[in-house]
Amino acid sequence: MHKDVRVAVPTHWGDGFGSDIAAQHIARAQEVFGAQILAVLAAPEYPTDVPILVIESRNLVALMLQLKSTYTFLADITATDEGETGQWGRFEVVYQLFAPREKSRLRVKTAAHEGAMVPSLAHIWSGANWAEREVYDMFGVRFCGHPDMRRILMDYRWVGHPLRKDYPLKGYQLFPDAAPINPDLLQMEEQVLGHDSDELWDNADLLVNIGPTHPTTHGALRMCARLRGETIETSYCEFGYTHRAKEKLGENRTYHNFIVYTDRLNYCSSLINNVAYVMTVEKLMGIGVPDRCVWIRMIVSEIARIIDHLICVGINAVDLGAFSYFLYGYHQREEAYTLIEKLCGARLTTSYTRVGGLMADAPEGFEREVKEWVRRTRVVIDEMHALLTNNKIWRQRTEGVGVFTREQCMDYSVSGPCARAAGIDIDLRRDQPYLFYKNVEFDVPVCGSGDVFDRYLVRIAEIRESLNIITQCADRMKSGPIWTEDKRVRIPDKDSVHNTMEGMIHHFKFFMEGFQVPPGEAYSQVEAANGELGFYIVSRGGPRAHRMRIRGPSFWNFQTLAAMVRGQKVADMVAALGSINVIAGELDR
Amino acid sequence: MSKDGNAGFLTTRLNDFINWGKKNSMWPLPFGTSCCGIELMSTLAADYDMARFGAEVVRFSPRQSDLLIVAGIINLKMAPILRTVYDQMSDPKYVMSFGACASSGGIFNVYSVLQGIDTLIPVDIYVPGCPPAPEGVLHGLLELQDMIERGTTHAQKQRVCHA
Ligand code: SF4
Repeated sequence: MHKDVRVAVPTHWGDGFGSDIAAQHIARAQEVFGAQILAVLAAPEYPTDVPILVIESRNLVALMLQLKSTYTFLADITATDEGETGQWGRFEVVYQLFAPREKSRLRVKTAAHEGAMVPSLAHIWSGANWAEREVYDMFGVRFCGHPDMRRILMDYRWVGHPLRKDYPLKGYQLFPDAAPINPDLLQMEEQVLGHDSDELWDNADLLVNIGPTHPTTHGALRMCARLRGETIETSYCEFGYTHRAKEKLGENRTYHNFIVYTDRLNYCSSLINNVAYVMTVEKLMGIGVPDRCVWIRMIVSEIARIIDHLICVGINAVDLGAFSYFLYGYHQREEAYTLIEKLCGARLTTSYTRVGGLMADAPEGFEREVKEWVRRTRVVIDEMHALLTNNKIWRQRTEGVGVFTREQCMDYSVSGPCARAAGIDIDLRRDQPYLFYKNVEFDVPVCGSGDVFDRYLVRIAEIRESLNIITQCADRMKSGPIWTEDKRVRIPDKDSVHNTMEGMIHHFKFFMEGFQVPPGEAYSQVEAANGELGFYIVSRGGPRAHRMRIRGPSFWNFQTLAAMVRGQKVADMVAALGSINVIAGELDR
Repeated sequence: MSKDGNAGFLTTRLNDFINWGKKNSMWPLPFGTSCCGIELMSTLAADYDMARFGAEVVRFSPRQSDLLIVAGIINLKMAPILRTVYDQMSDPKYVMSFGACASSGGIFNVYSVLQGIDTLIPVDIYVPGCPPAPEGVLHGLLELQDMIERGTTHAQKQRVCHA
């Protein structure tokens, strides 16, 4: 029935949403669940990029088990607050599913009234654990059957749920002290502390707290562990120390204003966030951009990926004692920042893209400079490789450490280099190509053992591939316009603003009111430096989003840490944490 | 002793001498939480090299450091921890507020963000920017050195009052 299920997706989004596979699954679900399926929402009747199945919550688990045979990857769980107007209930819980082999995406929704419970999926996908906790924290939707229904980002004493529409944007709550280690969470018996010292020595359990200001946590994370000797028996992670309410801001700022907030997600590769965000808005509005704009967006994304990888491997090495290695990488990164400064005048927080275009065209001779930089970076990467890869200490510290297998990665929805190091051959640039990635040639490096060393190898290999991509882009980029013709999002040019009254008014309205985005919803996914970065925007019309969800890879990847380091040494935890490259801005949002 | 055999004298007040020592051997504690932390790392790395100004011995223990660089967002969950770290530092101690977020909350005027660390701890120097460029940080450091030399930082003024 729903044969053509896509909205008019702009050409640079390419194909690859696997709508026929989704239609098959929807038909099958309708057969099995009949009236339990509350609705099937699909274009053109309902403006969405992928079809949506809405199911009653009590059949959610059965449906998910059925879908899991194909849709093996749980991309995201989130919710929306529909207030009084909700068709099925106040909250809608949204699940984004991905079938890597079939390259198909599907969205499942279920509804919950105020105070109602939704069945947890944590026993189907272990990765659902934190995502459901976040939904609880932000919206107050409880999940039954969840192993650990606690707040995750906000303080445990927080009152209210910030992403509810009735929670004020500035509803501050300050607490006098930090949360103590919670021994219950480590299933720690209190008696250990009461025993005399001999017994304590036999049963030498020690509670340690690492972070949130510990040098190895790079950003504000906290880990509490119970040790036996030096071996980690159990541990849990705490974060939310840099939570800045970006999702709430997304609902309170115009689409244009929100671009600056995307910089502060993964600030090591802010350009990728910029590109991903504006592409989502463009998808919602059905806007295509000129070729030159697409090529530039590709170049900057790849430069950002290289910077991110350099920081990650550099800091991973510093943590294990290889300081000079870090300096090599940082020098090359400074050169990349010089390039980026030429484009947009900023180093880290770039805000370079605009909906429908770019902040500014690349300067004269940019292609040549980029190619020069690529040439020099190749040399540096070779040097770095010679310095570290076969270093005996480095290999001893990383091989067989922090292993996370292929199956575990799928279970925890790990994506990006960490997944590829474990042998999962998914790269969204190749599998669901966006921009012009299908017009360039590159390999997707994959390793097998999933340890820290393999993650390092994958990152280094990816840097080399990115350098190839940049060269190809720079070769094929031609001069031409960088802005779409679409009047809705076109920033008025300064000439008319300064010289005509109409231009002035247009300019004022554009920036003060923002442009209107038609109602609809879209989830976009790009291959960011650490994995799948997704923006899920629900628009109800108007200049602000109804819901702005950010699916950051760090959040999902970090969840693996406790399982990864169980039974390993504390020092190995440092190596493992560095190799997953958790960026606090993206983790806490 | 100079070449011609004359013994040169260095006369100074003890206080000035101590301040000179303090200003040229600051041990920073980088309290980097977010984006600004990355720029702080750039400042410490080879290209900008904060070591030129005697402030390269980065210590993550508050007991061993005298310059607290708060680089990045401090949210309400982090605020008590920042206060604890500050209290654990021994005198004389200086605080640099690095970037817009630490100084005022920056672009984040929302429920979870502390609107400036000076509501919590005394700040000696603010470095503006989002994030500040490494050059700006070095400038801030030099300014702070001047303040220490003149004895106008919070920690130094307080000692005078108590004495
Ligand atoms: S001031 Fe800007 S760069 Fe620094 S932490 Fe805040 S948002 Fe990030």
